[in-house]
Amino acid sequence: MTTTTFKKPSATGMIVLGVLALLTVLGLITGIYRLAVGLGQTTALSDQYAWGLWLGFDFALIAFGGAAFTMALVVHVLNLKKYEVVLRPAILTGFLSYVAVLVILLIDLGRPDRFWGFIPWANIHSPLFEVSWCILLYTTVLALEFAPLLFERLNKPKIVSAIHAAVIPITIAGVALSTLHQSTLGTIGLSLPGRVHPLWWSWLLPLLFFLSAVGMGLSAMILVMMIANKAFGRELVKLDVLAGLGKGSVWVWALYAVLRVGDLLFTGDLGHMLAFDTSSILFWIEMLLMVIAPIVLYSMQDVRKSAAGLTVTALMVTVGLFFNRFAILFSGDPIPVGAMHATASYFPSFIEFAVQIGVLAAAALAWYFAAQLLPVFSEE
Amino acid sequence: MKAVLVDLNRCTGCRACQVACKSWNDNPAEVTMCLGCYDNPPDFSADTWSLIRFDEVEYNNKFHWVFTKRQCMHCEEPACVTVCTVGALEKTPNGPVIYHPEKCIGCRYCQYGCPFGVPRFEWDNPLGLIRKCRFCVDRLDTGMEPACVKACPTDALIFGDREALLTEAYGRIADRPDKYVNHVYGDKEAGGTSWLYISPVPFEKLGFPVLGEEPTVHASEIVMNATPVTLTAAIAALSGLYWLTKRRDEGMKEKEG
Amino acid sequence: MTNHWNDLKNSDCIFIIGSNAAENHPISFKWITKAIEENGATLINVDPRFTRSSSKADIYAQMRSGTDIAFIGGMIKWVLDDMEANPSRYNMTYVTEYTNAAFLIDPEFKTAAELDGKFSGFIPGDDPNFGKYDKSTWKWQTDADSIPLKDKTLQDPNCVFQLLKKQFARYTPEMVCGTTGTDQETYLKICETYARTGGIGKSGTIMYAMGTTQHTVGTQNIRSYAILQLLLGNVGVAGGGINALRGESNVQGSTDHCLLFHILPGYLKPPVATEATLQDHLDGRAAAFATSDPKSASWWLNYPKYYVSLLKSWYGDNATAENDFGYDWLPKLNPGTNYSHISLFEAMADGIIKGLFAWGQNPAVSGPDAITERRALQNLDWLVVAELWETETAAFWKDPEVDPSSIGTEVFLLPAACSYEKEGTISNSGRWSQWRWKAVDPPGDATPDLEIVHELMLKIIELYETEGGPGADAITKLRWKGWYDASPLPRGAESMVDLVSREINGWAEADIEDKYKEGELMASFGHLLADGSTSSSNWLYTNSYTEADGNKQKSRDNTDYHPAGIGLHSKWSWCWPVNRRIIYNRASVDLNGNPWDQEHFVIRWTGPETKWEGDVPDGGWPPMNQEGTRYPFIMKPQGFARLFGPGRAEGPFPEHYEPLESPISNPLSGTQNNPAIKVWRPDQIAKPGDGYDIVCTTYRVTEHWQAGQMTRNLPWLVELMPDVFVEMSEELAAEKGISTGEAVIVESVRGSMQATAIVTKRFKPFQLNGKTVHQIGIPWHWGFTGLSQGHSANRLTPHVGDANTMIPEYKAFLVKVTKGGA
Repeated sequence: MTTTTFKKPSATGMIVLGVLALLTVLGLITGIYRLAVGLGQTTALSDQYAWGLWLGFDFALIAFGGAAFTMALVVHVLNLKKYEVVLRPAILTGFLSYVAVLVILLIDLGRPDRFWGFIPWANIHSPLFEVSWCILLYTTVLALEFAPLLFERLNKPKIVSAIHAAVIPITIAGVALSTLHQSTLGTIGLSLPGRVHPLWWSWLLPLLFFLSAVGMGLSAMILVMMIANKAFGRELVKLDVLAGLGKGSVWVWALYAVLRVGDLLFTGDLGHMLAFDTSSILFWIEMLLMVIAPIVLYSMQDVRKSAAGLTVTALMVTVGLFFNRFAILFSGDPIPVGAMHATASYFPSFIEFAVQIGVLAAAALAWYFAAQLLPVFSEE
Repeated sequence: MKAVLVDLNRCTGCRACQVACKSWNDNPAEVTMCLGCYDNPPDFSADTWSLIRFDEVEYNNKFHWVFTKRQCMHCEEPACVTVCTVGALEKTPNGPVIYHPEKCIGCRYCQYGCPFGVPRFEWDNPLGLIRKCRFCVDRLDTGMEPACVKACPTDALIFGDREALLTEAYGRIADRPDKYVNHVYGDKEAGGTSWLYISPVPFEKLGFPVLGEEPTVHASEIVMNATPVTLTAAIAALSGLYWLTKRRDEGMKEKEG
Repeated sequence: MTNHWNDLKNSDCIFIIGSNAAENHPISFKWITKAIEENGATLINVDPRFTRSSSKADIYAQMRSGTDIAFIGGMIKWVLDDMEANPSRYNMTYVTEYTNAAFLIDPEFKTAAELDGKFSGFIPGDDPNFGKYDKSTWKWQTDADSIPLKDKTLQDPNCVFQLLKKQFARYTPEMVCGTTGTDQETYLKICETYARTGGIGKSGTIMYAMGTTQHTVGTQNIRSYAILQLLLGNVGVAGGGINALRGESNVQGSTDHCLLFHILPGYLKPPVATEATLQDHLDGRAAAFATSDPKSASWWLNYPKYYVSLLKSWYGDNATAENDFGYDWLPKLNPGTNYSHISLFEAMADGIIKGLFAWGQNPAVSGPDAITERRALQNLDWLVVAELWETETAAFWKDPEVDPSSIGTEVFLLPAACSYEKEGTISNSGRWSQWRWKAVDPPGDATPDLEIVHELMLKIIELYETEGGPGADAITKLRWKGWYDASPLPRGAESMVDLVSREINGWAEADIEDKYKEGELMASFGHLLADGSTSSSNWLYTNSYTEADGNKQKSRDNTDYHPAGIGLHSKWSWCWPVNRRIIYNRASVDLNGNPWDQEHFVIRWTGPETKWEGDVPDGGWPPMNQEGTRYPFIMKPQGFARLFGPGRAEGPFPEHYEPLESPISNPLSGTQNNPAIKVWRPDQIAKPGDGYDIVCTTYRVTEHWQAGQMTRNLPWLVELMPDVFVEMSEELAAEKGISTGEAVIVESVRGSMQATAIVTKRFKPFQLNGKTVHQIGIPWHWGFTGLSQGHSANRLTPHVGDANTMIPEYKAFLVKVTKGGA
């Protein structure tokens, strides 16, 4: 029951929007080209590195989009109404993240024309099968959670009320589905013991992925709202609300750290941490950014009171999370080679970057226009 | 359950098997160049399903030049079958792990899942599919042995019942312990495979992955099997949490009110 | 082969030298594997490089290219010494009774040990290092009946056994290993292991191929194996023998039908210009094989029957006793002239030969000194190539290094049908002549060779009939026109190739007593006659196609009918002579006709009624201790196998000489090279100090075949082996700064080539008496046409060959190696 008025962007803002638009178009063109000629000619993917930038981003974006279920859990299930103002932006963020994931998935699939294949053909043993169904169902839930924004704008109060009435079951469904697929992404890592380095591979992977999705969701909203506050030139969401999210995430990351290190101790893989090889260095970077930074920084009042402090910390968590998700694909050995002299290396191609950045730019643009045109935020 | 026993002491590296596979499956030749060794093509690909590896190995004070045939191992509990999103890969009771190209969506999870790096993708096809050795299932169906086995001049490859071949393999090792390392690769690895190997040198020196006796997807299988429980528990926990917090709020309101 | 492929499974010890059987005869390893696994056989392999064959060997030893005689000579010395110390370890009866070990030799004869590397009777030529031998001292002492004198105690200083000892006394393990670069411990192990096959009932087989023959001492390399095998009693027994692994699927057939200048079909001799009449020619052969020993079969004394039958098959009714059966029409060789491959190309280079038929041969790739040979082709007026593909020879004028506008040759390319597109026989290394059926029609205008020859000959006959000319009768009198193209075909033949097959076997050309009616197929070469009443295009193949059994080459019964199961498979196709699978098999039994090896017997005497059982005996006469017997080595005039063999150009014993291009001085003597060879282009040979100090050899790979026409055009094979490469040791690569996979240039005095380097542990530098010598190797299959193109290794090889056969020395020459390429 809120409305917004369209605020014209500043000159800088126009440039930013213009660049985002250009990147979107570039992404569109390269994406179509990839569909026309195939993955071999457009990406650096190969039989040794069959998943690359796009899948890595997908893994990370799903966690980022976990902002939606996390906020739904916080607001509706845990009934912490203080954070209600963050809920709609979170749903928007989640919805757009998931749409971005789906677009990239479509581009990455070898047979984009068969993206629907998991519907008639089931393999209940496959983590990816379960993830596909969960994402299909969850995106539907997200759409349902997002729909009121549309229908409010379109002045259809009856539909809005109907959806509102079912908010708890919808929310529980959404959180349950999210729990499943966020953790099953971890199960994918579990299914690839050869491809995942012992510093990451663990029986706890599903739980760790779930927890890090929750933690990420909280920091995602901090980051997104800090950027939105800057872009719209006013405090769409108050700093202390966001600080509260950060403080809450400390507990999540602390639990994560205990489980992660404890598991390494239990399996005898602690030594890898101190090996001073590439894997251990990447591990430490990840722990520093994704786990230690939020625990330490969000606990500090000075950080929580500072916009810059909150933003930087949230950014660190995001980057750390990306490290973590990419580790599932790249920390272990590449796919084995058959004979002696096949070379294995991967660096994403220009088209891979262009498509990825294009999709992210499109999502950012969509977020901006949705925030302008739909009742995402309360009236001042 | 059918299997093939590969005796690396008998293989002379003639590569009749490599060409027989290409011929039977009508797979085109790749454009290759000499990379400083005999191995060519250098790796499996959508068009190359069976390869001979050439390894120069010093072992037990003797110089060995070992020729190893590599192809799909047709595991007893294949990781690719477990992880395939749409169940396009299937382990048949007779042994071969077959592929249903009409279902494949090209997600390439099987490429990641396979501990042997077998499934390969048609990168240059905009509507690309996964391709790999099929254990000549069409030949097996008519009572013939796989093309590679048929072509082998020295009986380095023999086809038969898995149990019988295991007995044969261990028998050969016992007869000539000076010529074989005491291990049948594929007996237990990753839950056992249909392609069994005996060798004069340790298998790691030939590029075989060191694998435990459990299938590599063992852990994820257990977790996946728990999915209904997980879902039920999540819904129950969330409902419980909601009920608890609602009660607390209502309780607080009552107090205020 | 004296034996055959399947027989390998019977061996106790398989010695692969001068061959890479696993590489180039991969199917042979089916039988070798059986020998190893079922017969407990040991596999020994000696090669400059660790090959695919070496990978299966129990004992591998490296040996520098071109030092086989040193290697085997040392083994011979080891065996001779051991024989004297422990005669019970050997089959001394075999040695004294079946070989000429006991023969007494002219005391004037001197071994190479005594004359610093030469035998008695050397006559130097213009270059004192080369010349020829007066063989008058190379003979045995004979009694009044001209039968050789023998000392069966082997003590007489002039007996062959003692002379053999004298000859090889220098070949100590130290001397041998200093020459070959072999590790001494391994060398002695090989001597010991292989010598055990000398035991009674034990067999050892030597498998060899081009690594043995393609040297200036190639023939003597084989002689050294023969001597070793005979001392060990390994010839004529199952799992033994001297076994040449033939390279082309039908090269055995081509040599049997004698498509070489110095032989006529059935290993008969072409007439020489000094033999004016048939009788002159036959007398010459009779003299060579004369014997007065009633126990010597001297089978070549039947020569006239085979010769006349051959002429009769060519000239039919035109060949009569009156006209010497057409002998006058035959072209005659100029005495002492050599018409082998190298000579022909020298003649082309000199502008003497103006026309060439290159029939299924690609000398632009496979010829020695390939650049010289390609240039020689430019002098031709015309060239006819019958081939499946447009090869480098057919396209010699398209060579990227040549300007076609300067070439006046008219080139004809006749597309030929390949083996699956026609019918006929292929004779394998084991002398088995196997019929092949047609599977598909040839494409386009491609035609089977038989039909191409037929069409050509009809035209040539027509031209001679209308225009006449010198030697016209040789052509016009042939039984050709109206014979191969008659309708219906004569004598019940079903097709032209069927007619030729029958003709090769031979017919009665007139009624013969009550044995044959005119036009009936001859049952055996034993029935051929010298009076013109029989014909046969190749006496060896008589018995392959008979009235009783039809075309036996088509037979495909794979049962092993031999009572001991030694794998003769006598009803699977047919082999010569008269389906005898293991030749000289009379040596496989003792003087009473009992086999040395009971378990793997070849033949055995079962009594005067039932006679021999097993393989076709090499002469059905009773055993040696009975009346009417014959010595086992029936093709030799004396009937004994020759340890002392005076027939070769460079000596009755093998003597080690260095290859013409060698990195060291001959450690064995002051005679550096084989003194009996002809050096065509001395300025094209590397001299010490020229900077060419790396030994190079050429060889083959499984994936490609010969000059590569077929295989370099087949995508699946090109995929396996796409480029020409050079294999070298890690040590040499380090010296030259070469990494594996890099381009390198290899250069000899004659030319240079580029190849991809394969740096490997399988080549190791040789330590020769303190000097380090490197060796590299190159597969020679490549040329400038086809799907896979590359430089031909023969750009590097010398235009020089063996003293007896002229087979080029492809296997050992000198080069430089440098990093880099175009």
